[in-house]
Amino acid sequence: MASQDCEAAASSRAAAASSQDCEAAASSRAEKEEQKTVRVAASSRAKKKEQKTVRVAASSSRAEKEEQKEERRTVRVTSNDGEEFEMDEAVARGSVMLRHMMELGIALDGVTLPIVSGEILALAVSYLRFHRDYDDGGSGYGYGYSYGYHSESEDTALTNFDRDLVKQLDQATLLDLLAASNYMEIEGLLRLTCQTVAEKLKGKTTEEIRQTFCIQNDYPPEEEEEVREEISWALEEKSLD
Amino acid sequence: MSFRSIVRDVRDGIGSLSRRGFEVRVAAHRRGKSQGHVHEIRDQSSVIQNSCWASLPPELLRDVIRRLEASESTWPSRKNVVACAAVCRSWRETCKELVKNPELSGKITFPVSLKQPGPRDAPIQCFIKRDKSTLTYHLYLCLSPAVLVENGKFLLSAKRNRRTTCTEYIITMDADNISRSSSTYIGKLRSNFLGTKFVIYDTQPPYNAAGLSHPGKTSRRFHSKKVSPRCPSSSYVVSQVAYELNVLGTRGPRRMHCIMHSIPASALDAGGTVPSCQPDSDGLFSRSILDESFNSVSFSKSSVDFGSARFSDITAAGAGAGADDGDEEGKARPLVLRNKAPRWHEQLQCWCLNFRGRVTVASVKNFQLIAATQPSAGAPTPSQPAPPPEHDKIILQFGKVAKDMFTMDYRYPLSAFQAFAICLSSFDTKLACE
Repeated sequence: MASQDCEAAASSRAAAASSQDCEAAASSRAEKEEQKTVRVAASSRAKKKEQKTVRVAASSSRAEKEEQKEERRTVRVTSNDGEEFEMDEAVARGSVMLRHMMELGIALDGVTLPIVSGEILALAVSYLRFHRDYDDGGSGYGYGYSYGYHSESEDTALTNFDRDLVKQLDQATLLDLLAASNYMEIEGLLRLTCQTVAEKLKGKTTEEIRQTFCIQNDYPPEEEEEVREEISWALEEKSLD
Repeated sequence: MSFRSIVRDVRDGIGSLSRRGFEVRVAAHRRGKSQGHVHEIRDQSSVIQNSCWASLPPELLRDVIRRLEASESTWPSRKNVVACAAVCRSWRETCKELVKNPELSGKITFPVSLKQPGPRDAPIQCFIKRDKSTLTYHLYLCLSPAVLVENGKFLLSAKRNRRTTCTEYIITMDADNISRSSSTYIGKLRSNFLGTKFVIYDTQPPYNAAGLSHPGKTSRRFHSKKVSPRCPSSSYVVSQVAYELNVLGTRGPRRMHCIMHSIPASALDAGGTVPSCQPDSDGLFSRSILDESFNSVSFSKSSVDFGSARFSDITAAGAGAGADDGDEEGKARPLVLRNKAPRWHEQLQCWCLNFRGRVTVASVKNFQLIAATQPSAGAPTPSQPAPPPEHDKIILQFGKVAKDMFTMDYRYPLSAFQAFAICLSSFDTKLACE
């Protein structure tokens, strides 16, 4: 009854009904009615809350649930061939792309990466997991929050991990991992893969580079000649005696 | 903006960013695994001519090559940078952008570095090995600081040809086959009969080449347009070197003057540079505009035919404001270098120059070149024992360290080629000193 009064009061004016208006209208009446109005206003507010998006309710209820556990949220990332990886959000923050998706709230139902295969994603995830523990000093907040003190053995472990990760990769996998780390914006892994490729280029002749990386020689004949002279000059090792 | 539209934009963005587009091709081409799952983005999969590496996004290729270039800064491992530049056109473009010329980096990387000015702060240290039996000279970049260690990267070679009226030194990039008709020929030094005046010719035109060029076909070196090896390549006068006796005659050290026609005197001023006529002078290939602008060849008589002309005439002509270049737009005064006068050491009874340890054997051939400040030609005033204060930086230093071994240190604004040619003139001149 009182709510109808409230609405009537609101509709009798031109302006939109705000809770204040309701209350203002109600305050001009008797105290009892005022109290009723207040109660009704509160209940209408509750109704409005219920009408909000399910997602917020879901997330707040999920948040409530998770508060009951420890402070741990996970994100599920799926490769283009259906492999699923579940990792802590703190770990996933190592990928700037995933971090943005989480911040925008679009990672809650999981993320599918249409151009990263399971094999590559596994490598990327293992990198993220290992480096998360290292880069945040075990504080649990993930990338970018804090940098703990590292002992020398931890530094060595990190270097060894990185080296072992890329050591066994063949050219195609290395390229895919480089591309994936660029796509997922994992800075450290991108640096690592670029450096590895640069190392692989050293000591190779031009022809060997072309063969190893399957690149075609696309020089027109006139430039070809000059290129060849350039190389023979660079390789010239005239003996000094 | 509603929440939904933000989400839609982000999702669309992730799917269509051009820099990620290539991975579509990668994923589609991976043998086996993921092929079945990328039907909807298969539009590009059939288009690849080269492999996935060739279609690496430019910024990733750049990152890889940048790392390589930074870590291979000295020879011989710097050859890896040259090897990468030769792989294909996109790699070459990236290398071109990343490698700085010697003036900025102090490093010699590609052959074109040999014709670019050296660094401004510290000189590039080289050495020259002479072989009297074959009349050849080889220029090397020093790879170790010790003077007598023969550890170097080959840069240029020269061969002496004695003719009836003059002597010529052919300069090439080939260590073994030193010949004018080779495609590695890059210039020459020619002396007059007496060995007192020399002219340096470059196959590559300098910035003001219209007044200095010699009739001939378009140059082959460093240009994309190829000419048959049988055609003579063109020659541009880029410098003149003259030796004179001291006023003390043969009892004093001889005097050297170098007129660098290809370098304006303003290059040594604050903020000055050595202009070049190539649009991308720090690139690997100078895609020069010469082919069009070089058809008008004005043969500057007095600067080439110097057999009979007095040196002072040449200097006057070359020192700008001369009659030759009326049609040139503001032809700048060329840089003139002269040798630093040694001091007589009374106790040691010899002429001394401070070579800072880079020259260890006394020889009349040893010299240090500095900029001569006064523009007019002619000899310095004889009455002054010490030269007036000038630009004190030693631009070129040359001297003997062993029987057939000489060091050569050069810096901005000279290039390795010019420095080498000037040093060769010192071998040939007959003016001795008692």
